[in-house]
Amino acid sequence: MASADFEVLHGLRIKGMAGERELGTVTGASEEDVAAALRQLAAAELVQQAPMEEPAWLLTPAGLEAHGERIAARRGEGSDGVAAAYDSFLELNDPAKRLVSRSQQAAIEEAELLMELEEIAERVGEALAYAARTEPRFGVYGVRFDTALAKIGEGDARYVGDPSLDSFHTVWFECHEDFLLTLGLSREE
Amino acid sequence: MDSVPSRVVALADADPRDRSRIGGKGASLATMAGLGLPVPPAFIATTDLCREFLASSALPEETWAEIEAAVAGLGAGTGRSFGDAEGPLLVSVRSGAPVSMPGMMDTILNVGLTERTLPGLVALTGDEAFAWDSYCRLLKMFGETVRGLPSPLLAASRREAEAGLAPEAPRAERARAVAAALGAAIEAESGRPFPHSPLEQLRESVLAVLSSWEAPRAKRYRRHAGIDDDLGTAVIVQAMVFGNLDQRSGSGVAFTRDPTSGERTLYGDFLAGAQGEDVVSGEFDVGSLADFRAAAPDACAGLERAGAELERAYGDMCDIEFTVERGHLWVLQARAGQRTGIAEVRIAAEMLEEGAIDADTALDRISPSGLIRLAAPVFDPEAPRRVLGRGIAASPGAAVGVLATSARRAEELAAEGTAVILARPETSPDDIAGFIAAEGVMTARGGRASHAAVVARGLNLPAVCGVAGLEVGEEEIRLGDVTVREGEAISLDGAGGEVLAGSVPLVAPRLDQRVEALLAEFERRPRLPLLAEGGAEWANRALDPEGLTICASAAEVESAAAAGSPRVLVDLASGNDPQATLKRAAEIDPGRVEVLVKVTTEWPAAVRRLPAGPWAGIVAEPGSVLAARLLATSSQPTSKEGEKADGAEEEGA
Repeated sequence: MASADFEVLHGLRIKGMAGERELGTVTGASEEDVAAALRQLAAAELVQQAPMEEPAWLLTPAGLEAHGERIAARRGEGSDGVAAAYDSFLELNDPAKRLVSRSQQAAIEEAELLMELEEIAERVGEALAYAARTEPRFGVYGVRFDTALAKIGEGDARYVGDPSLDSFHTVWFECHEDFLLTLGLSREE
Repeated sequence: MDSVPSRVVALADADPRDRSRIGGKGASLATMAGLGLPVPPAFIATTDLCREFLASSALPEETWAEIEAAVAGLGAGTGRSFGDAEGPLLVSVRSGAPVSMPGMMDTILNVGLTERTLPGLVALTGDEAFAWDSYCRLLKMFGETVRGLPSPLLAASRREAEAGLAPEAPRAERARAVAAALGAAIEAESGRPFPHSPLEQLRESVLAVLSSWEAPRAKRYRRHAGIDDDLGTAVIVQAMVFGNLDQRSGSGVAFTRDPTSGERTLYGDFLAGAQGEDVVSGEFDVGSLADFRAAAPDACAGLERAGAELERAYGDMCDIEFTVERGHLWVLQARAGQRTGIAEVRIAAEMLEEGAIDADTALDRISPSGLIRLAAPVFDPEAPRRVLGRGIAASPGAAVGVLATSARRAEELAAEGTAVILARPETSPDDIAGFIAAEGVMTARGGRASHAAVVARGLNLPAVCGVAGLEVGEEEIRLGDVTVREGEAISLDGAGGEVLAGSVPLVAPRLDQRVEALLAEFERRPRLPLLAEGGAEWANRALDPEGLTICASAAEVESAAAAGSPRVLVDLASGNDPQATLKRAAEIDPGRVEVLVKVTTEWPAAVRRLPAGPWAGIVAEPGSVLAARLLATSSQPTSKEGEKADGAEEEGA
């Protein structure tokens, strides 16, 4: 059985704190698989429930350590594909962030913004598909970009940069973090 | 053939008004050339040529001959010519439709560089590594844009080539190895070799730009924006200039006014001895225009003149991309510049006073977000302020709170009702919850387009990024020899990019008199129509009591909307939280429910219709001075109790 263990652990490492539904979105796993993974991880004391109004999960110190070990172990098995994909991602990083900045300052028309976002999503999609050959979870970001673009296309501009939604920038930011964690790089490098 | 207009136009002969043929970018270049600004030589393949191409899917030989002749003429007077081994002229090839069409990737640079012309570029620049890097850049753009290869494929071949070299291999050697690998990858993946003839490179590049008009994404955009498919795109072929030849060379971006504050001063970035892409790459520490003045004083004076000319021509603040080649200024691109909300208002107000624009234009250029920012509380100018650190002004506004150094702590403090300033070394996605909880954020690393800055602006949160010398510890921060612990007060000036000691008092801003003059213009327009004035009985009578629900709280607004009431009168005077009531009312779909606002605290009341769209935001912004003013000021003659003429007309409109 394909376990979503690592994906859930990794999703919590990136998001810091997340509910089960969010974890489903970021891992692409089914509700049952996420719940099962959380049960296992909680039994191993790698995750705990956060004292929040809405049920949310976060890593324990042991969980953080376990994640570090597990991602380092995966790094050995040929992350060249992810590294090349990250090169392509980085080329798009500034244009993508500048585009979101422009929309925040209302300096771009809606249709133009959507087309530019689509162009970036299409190009980053190539990079993600390439990375997914080594690490299949990168494919999930492509789905999340498409979902955000569909919302923007329906006229909901919050899906460009709203940090509290699975907006284009939220997905971009988390994807960036995933590349850094996967490759063992810091943001400065 | 004389009656047939030429399909290829030299920039010097192009008419800026001929936008439908030479495209928007071409018209902009023609405008600059017409102003006498130093624009690198260029020619434009017109949209006529594009339509011809689209009809036949081919470029007729006589058309191609026109392009060949035009490119041969480009170097006249420069001592360089296209394809020449000794003094090679390189060109950029880019698209430019008559209407704004996104497509930032439709550019191919360094066309004309081959292994035969490369030594000529080495001789010209004296920089072998640069020449090979330029060649790599051409190979990459050609592979991706012209041959349509996925970018990671080429990135992987680059990595493979670099992995085969010793770490201490010189840059030129690395670039040479990468070029060989990219060339091999292009041939293997696209089935055809990279063209080693400059003219063949040009032909394929021009065809690629023409074909991009038919790309699915471009077609979808045109359908969406209602743009005619037969419009076609122009192709601009322009001589490349070099900012990396010596220390009197360089590249930069200048704004005719400060895009953050709006101040009337030439403002920008400059990097000596560098190409334009280095300025925006973030890899180098970019200097200010003072560096430019020092490196090339004459060229800098030329840029100031160019800025003044461009502002006159555009009637707006412009941003200008430029390159200096051995002390000679080249203006590459100019357009109306992006600016912050605050700058937007200040620039509109000052240009109105200068007589550069009229009141309608000035009002069109300002948005609610700029006004809201301008009306937000500021630090008391009289209060002493001690600056602990400086960074990039990433998101404007003044914030005061107690320090938290982790997202978790920020959330805990905020849950207790405490205002929090969050300090982070840099930002990762797990900090977002802390951002949402905080009143302001600072980071030790990152610039204006960093994720932290984007997130902060998305939340309208004052932010200072890249604070020099900021060390974020477990439970305290250090700035120089000052330590601030979690729970201690600290202040942030997001517009000035400053971290301030303690809790600096906040006051309502005093608006500049030019901004006041602009707002007076605003208040003269009936943007917030006054419906009527009258007593309570009158309101019941005049405002069609059948469909009207008077609401004093957000919950009442909610239930009125849910119950399908066609009209809601928000009574700001009653109820505990008028801002929350108004805010909820502003979210109602104006097509479904008409929202009226009773402005004054007592009867007789002024009643106004809440405007639809973004202007509702300014009215609903909590504590906004402008909201109060805009709501309270009469913009039309008021009608007396019982007379509902004005109101009736308004309602019918």
